[in-house]
Amino acid sequence: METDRIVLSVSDVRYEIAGRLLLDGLDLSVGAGESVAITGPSGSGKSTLLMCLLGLVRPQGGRIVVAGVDITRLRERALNRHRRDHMGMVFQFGELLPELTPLENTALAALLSGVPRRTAYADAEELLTTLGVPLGGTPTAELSGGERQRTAVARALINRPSLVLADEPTGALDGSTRDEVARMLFSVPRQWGCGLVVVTHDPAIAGRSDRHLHLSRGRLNDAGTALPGTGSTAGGAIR
Amino acid sequence: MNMLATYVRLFAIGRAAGRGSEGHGLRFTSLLCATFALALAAAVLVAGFAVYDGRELRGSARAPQYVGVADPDRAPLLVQVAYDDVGGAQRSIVFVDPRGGGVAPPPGVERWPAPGEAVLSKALRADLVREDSLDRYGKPVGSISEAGLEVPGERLAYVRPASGLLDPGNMTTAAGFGADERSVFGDRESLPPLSAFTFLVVGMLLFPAAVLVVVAARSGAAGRDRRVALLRALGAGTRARVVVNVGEAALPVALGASAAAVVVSLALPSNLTVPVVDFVLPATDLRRWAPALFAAVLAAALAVPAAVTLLHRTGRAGHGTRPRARNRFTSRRMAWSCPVFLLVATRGPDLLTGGGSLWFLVYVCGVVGTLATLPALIAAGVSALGRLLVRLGNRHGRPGALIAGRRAVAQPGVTARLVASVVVAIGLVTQIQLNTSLLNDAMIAAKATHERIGDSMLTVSSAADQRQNRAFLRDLPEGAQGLALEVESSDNRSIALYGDCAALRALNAPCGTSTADPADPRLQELTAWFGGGAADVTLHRADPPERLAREAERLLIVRDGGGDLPVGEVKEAAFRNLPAPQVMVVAGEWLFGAAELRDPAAWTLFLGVIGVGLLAFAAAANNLGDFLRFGRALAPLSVLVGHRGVFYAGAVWAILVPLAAAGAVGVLVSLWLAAPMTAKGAVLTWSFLASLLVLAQILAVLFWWWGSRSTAAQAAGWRPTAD
Ligand SMILES: Nc1ncnc2c1ncn2[C@@H]1O[C@H](COP(=O)(O)OP(=O)(O)O)[C@@H](O)[C@H]1O
Ligand SMILES: [Mg+2]
Repeated sequence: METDRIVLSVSDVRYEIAGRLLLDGLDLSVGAGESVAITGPSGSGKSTLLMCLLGLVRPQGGRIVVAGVDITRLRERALNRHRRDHMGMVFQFGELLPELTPLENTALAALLSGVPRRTAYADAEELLTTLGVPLGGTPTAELSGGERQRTAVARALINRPSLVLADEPTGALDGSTRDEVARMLFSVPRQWGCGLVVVTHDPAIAGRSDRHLHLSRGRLNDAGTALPGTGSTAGGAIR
Repeated sequence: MNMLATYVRLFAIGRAAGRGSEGHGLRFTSLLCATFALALAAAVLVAGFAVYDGRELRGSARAPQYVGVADPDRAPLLVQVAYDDVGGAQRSIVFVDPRGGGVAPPPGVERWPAPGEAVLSKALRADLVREDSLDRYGKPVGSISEAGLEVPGERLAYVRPASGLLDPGNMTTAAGFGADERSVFGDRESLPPLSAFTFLVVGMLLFPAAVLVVVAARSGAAGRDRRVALLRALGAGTRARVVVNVGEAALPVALGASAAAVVVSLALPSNLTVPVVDFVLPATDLRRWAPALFAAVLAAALAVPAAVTLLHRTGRAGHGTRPRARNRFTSRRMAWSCPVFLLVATRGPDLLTGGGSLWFLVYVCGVVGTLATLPALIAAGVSALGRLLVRLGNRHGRPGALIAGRRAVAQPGVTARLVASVVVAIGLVTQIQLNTSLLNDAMIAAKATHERIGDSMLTVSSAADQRQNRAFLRDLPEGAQGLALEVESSDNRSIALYGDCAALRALNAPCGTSTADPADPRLQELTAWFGGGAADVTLHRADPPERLAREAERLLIVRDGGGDLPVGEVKEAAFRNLPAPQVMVVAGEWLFGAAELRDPAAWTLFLGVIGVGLLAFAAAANNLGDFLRFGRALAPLSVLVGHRGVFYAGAVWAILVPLAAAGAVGVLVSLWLAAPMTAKGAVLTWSFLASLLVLAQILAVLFWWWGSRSTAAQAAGWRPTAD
C-alpha cells in the first residue's frame, strides 16, 4: 500500500519515569492507509508510547506530529480538540457503555464531538453495517466479544480520524474470534485511509500488519532484524 | 512485637487502600457523615435519658411532702395546684401558704413570697409579659431558678395568696418539699413518656443513621475488594483482613466521631436551645451524663468499622453489568396494586358510615399497602421514563439523556431504590406527624366553638364566697358582665342564667325572666357544651352572687354587644378577688388537650425532617456510588473526545431529576394519603412538607454537583490500562 501522506511522525521521543528511561530517542512514521504493529516484552513501554501518541502523557523530549500538528506543543484545549478530530482508539476491553446499543455507543462518540445528530446516527449505522455488527436493540453487554470489538473499532472510526491506535485489541478474545477481529482491524487503514498503530504481544496478529516493529531499550526496530546494535531498519522506523 | 509490626503495616495498607480506590471521595464522605449521624443519634438518645432523669430528680425534689394533719390551720404548709391558660396552653399555678418559719421554700425559690406575691419561672414570666398580664397572680418577686424546674423552659408559678383569698378547705397539708414521687405539677402533664421519645429517636434518627452506615460501608468497595482479595491470596487471615478494613475506615470514622464529640461538648457548658422545637437543653443533666454521652459517641465510632468489616462482601462473584434484583423491583402485580391501595386509603373510609376502629383499620390498610407497593410502581415508572429518555436522547441527539435513560432501563432498581426510599420515608413521617396531631372529636368541637365565638364568653369557677364573688363582679373590666350559670343535671337538662339588667341586655334579653333567643351563637355553644345540645336556656333577673351561694356552679362572663373580652384583665380581676380561680373559654379544657399535642408534634416534625434527610442522603450516596461506576465506563470515551459536559448532563437525569422528583412525589403522595386524616381534624403542617420538599431539592442539587464533579475528575485522571 502506498503511503502517500504521513499521518504520524514521531522523532527522537524521550520519556523517563520513576528513574527508568522507557522511550529513548524513539522514531516512528506512519502513512495514511498504513498499518504498524508494535510488539515488545511486557513493561517495555508499549502502552506508554500509545499514551504519548494520544497526548495523555507528555514526553520529556522529541516531537510527535499527528496529521501535521506537533501535539507535544499544544495546549490542553487544542490538544483535546486535535485528539477528537484526528485520533481514534480501540482498547483491550472495548471500554464501551454496556447498557447502550452498538449504534448508540458509536453515535455517542460523534455526538460528543459535536457532529449533528442525523449525520452521527447515519455514519454509525453505515460503519457498523460495514464492520458486520448487528443493528438490533441489543445492549452492547450482551454481544459477543468479537462484536464488541467491532463496535469499538466503529466507535474509533466514527470521527474519520487520521490515526487509529489500538492497545491489545484482541487481548481479551479467543481463537477464531481473535483472527477475525484482527483481519477486520487490519483492513481498516486501506478502507478508511487512516494510519493504524496496533500494540500487541501476539506475533500472529502482528504478522498481518504492513510493518511489524519491536520495542526494546526505548527504541523501535524492525521485528525481523530486532537485534540490539544492528542499525539496519529496512522499511522500519523511517525518519 | 513482630506481630504488632505486621498489624501496623496491615493498618497502613488499609489506609492506602482507602485512598487509592475509585469513588474514594464518596466513601470517605459517606463514612464520615454516617459516623457523625450515628454518633449524634446515639448521643441524642442518651441526652433524652439524661433529661428525663433530671426531670425525675428535680421533680421529686420539689414534690410536696403531703402529711395528714387533723387541723389544717396547724399544718406547716398548705398547697393547692391550679391551672391557668397562658400562651394557649395550660400551666401549673401552685398556691402555697407556709405557716410559721419552719418550712423551707421549694427548690429554686430563694425566699418565701409574701402574701399577694408570686414567684414565676422565666418562661412563664415571658408568656405573661406577652399577654400584658405580668401581675396576674400577684406581685411578681424573683424567679424560680433552674434547680426548681424540671427543665429550664418549664412554665410554673408559686403563688402565695393574699390572706383574704386563702381557702384552707381546698388546700392540702404538707410538711415541706422533697418526696420519692415526682410532683404532679409543671409541664410533665403534657409531656410524652420517655418511651415515646425513645421510639421517635430510634425510628427517626438511629434507624436512618444505621441505613447510612450500611450504605457508606458498602460504597466504593471495588478497589478495596481487590486489595483484600490479594491479601487473602497471599494467605492473610480474617484478623488481618479486619485490620485492613479498620485501617481503611479509621480516618473518616475518627473525623466523624470527633465532630459529634465536639457538638456534644458544645452542649455541656451552658444551656443550648434546640431550634424548631424551641427546647432548652438542661446542661446540668448533660454534664451529669457526660460519660454516657461520650460513651455513646465512642460506641458509634466502634460500630461503624464493625459494620464495614461485617458488611464487607467477600467471595462475591464478579460485578457484572447485567441487571440484578429484577423480580423484586419490577413486579407488575405489585405496581398495579399500588393505585388500588391508594384508592382504598383515600376513598375506602368514606364508604363506611361513621368512624371508629373499622374506619381506621381500612385507612391503615390502604396506607400501608400504598407505601409497600409504591417501590414497585416507582421501579416500573423509572423503567418507562428511562425508555422515554432513551427515545428522546436518540431523537434529539442528547448524550446525557441517552446514557442516563439506558442506565435506568438496564438497572431500574438503583434509581427506584433512591426514589422509593425518599418517597416512603416522607410518607411514613407524614403519617406519624398526622397521628401525633390527631385530635379527638371533643377537641375538634372545642376548636370549632372557639372559632365561632372566640373569647366572647368566659366561665369562672372557684370556691369563692358571696362576698368574694361580689367583689370580683365589681372589679370586672369595663363592658364585661357576669351571670350565674346554673345547670340542672336531672333527666331533663336545663340551663339557667341569672344576672342583672345590664348582664341580660348583653345577651340581648329583656330585663326579666325569659327564654333565651336560640339564635344567639354564645347561648348555642352553652347549650351544646352544658346542656347536651337539647336544653333550653332560661334567663332570670337576679343577683348572681346570691344564686352562686346556693347551687350554681360557676359564673359566666359576657361582653356588652358581643365581641372578645379582655381575657387578661378578667383573669387579673379573678386572681385578685377569688381563691384559686379557674377562668377559661367554653370547652377550654379540650382546647388545652389539643394544645398539649403541639410540642410532641413539633418534635415529630423536627426529628422527622432530619430522619428523612438522613435517609435521602443515604439513598443519594448509594445512587452516587453507582453513578461513579457508571462514569468510570464513560471515562475512556470522554477522554478521547475531550468532553466533560456529558457527566454533568448525565447526572442531571441520573441524580438531580430522580431525587428532586422523589421529594415532589413523596409530598404529593403524602398529601393524598393525608386527606382522610385531615378531614378528621389531623393537622398536616405545611412548613413540614415544605421543608421536606426543599430538603430533597437541596440534596438533589448537592449530589448532582458532587456526582458530576467526581465523575468528571475521575475521567480526567483516567489512563488506558492494558497489559
Ligand atoms: N506513571 C508511572 N509511574 C511509574 N511507573 C510507570 C508509570 N507508567 C508506566 N510505568 C512503568 O513503565 C513501564 C512500562 O509500562 P507500560 O507502558 O504499561 O508497558 P507495556 O505496555 O509495554 O507492558 C512499566 O514497568 C511500568 O511500571
Ligand atoms: Mg501495555
